[in-house]
Amino acid sequence: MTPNQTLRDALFDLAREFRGAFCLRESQSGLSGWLTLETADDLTAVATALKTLGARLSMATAMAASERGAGRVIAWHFDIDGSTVTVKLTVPEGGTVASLVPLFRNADWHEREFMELYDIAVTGRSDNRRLFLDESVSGQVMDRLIPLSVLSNAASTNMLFEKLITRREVL
Amino acid sequence: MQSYEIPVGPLHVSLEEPMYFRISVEGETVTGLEVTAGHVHRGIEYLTTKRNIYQNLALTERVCSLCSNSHPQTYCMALEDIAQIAVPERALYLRAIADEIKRVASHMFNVAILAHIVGFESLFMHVMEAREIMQDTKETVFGNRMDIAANVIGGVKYDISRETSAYILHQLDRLEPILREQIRPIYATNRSITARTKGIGVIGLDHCIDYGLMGPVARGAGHGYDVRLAAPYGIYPQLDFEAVSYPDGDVWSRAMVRLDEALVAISLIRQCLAKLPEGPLSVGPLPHIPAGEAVAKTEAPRGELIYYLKTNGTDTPERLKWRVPSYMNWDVLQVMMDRARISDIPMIVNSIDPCISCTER
Repeated sequence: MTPNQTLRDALFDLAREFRGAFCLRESQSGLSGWLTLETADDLTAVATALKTLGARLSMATAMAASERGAGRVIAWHFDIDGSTVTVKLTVPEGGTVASLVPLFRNADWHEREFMELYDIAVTGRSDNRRLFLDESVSGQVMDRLIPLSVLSNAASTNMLFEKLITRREVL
Repeated sequence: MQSYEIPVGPLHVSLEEPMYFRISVEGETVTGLEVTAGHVHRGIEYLTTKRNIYQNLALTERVCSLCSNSHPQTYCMALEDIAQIAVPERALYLRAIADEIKRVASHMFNVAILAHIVGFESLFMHVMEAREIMQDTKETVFGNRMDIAANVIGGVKYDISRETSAYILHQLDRLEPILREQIRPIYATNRSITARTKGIGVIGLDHCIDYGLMGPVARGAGHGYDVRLAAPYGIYPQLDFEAVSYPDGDVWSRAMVRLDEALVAISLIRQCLAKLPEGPLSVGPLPHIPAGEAVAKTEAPRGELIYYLKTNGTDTPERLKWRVPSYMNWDVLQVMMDRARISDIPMIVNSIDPCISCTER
């Protein structure tokens, strides 16, 4: 049995233990598994099972709500010897998701990033400092950030020019 | 012993890039580190969802300059996975050539900076001068020295003629002996280098796993994961090479991994040029991308680069997210700097080959 066959069987066994949908694709890069959980409560158990299979946390992706009150989708991408397993779930509005830092040390920055960009509450963390954004910037910035190109196209006020002209007159 | 806190950055003469370190010291010894990021956060990920799929090719190339080819290539791979596009074989070879040329230039830049921090200015100038051979190669082949715009969705947009192939081989013939016979031996044995780098900024294999470290930082500590071999993509399964790995986990080991990998990259470019098949360069202009999602991974100069892409059938991506190897490597600085000397701080920071523009996006 090849390593990929062994891993495929292990992933199907894992997926059967949790409520949700699972699909698996295979390419020259290895396996690509997609597990969509019905409930965020299963995250820690799934991550623990993946770690038992030798998984490393590669990345976490949070997504903007598709509509108001729809909740937010988070995807955790794990690597197992080159194969990728993505675990997705929806955090309902006002809900929380468990931290994976106790299992994967490098989850810390990923969680801090989606906490500040998407205003997602993560439980079980000791350090909730901002990662990139200043404390003065409110959460959900990815839902309401205005691109610089739009800003620069927008009409500006005359304040700056009036100030300059006034100063010039004073001088 | 008196304790102090030293602020380093975000703008500091010993740092290449704007990061803020609050370093606790006792006398000359580092006892704690707090990293504060966010000084060049540009919101590029958000911008990608306001640009169309084709514009994002140019945008992702501008995330970072040293690994500027890795970003659009990985982005293209995610799109090609969703659209089930089979990239022509010639294009796969050309992608590998572009990537490896960038890797040589990136690695040589990092080891040159190491020499500069040590104060070995003649070595710094020598490595940078040798690196110019690859910079000139990029300028001649791609028309640019950093952002080479080699990739399109479904292939590449540059070609290598017989004359260009001969030119690249000539450039490699110039660079390889300098790198193999002059530069590498100096880093391997010269007392000025080894005294400042061996046993400095040490991490172990367990740290690599715990912190999810990738690239030369991990391979310099015996963690031999290389995406080109572990999750082979493009034409790499048809090329002959092995992952470079050193066991000691110190600044010196990370530099040696980069020097050896530059030599491996030269070998890979030679192999690609020798095997380069005839055929189309791409599947054609502006292919339609259906709704779907994909994860793509490549081995960027600093390690594993991963992209997640979700599309909805329109020409604008619903979500595009990426994570660069520097992302985890910043965090492990607190291990590398523990009990280090103040004078070693710039050396240790440089040894992770940090990229703040990649990290913050």
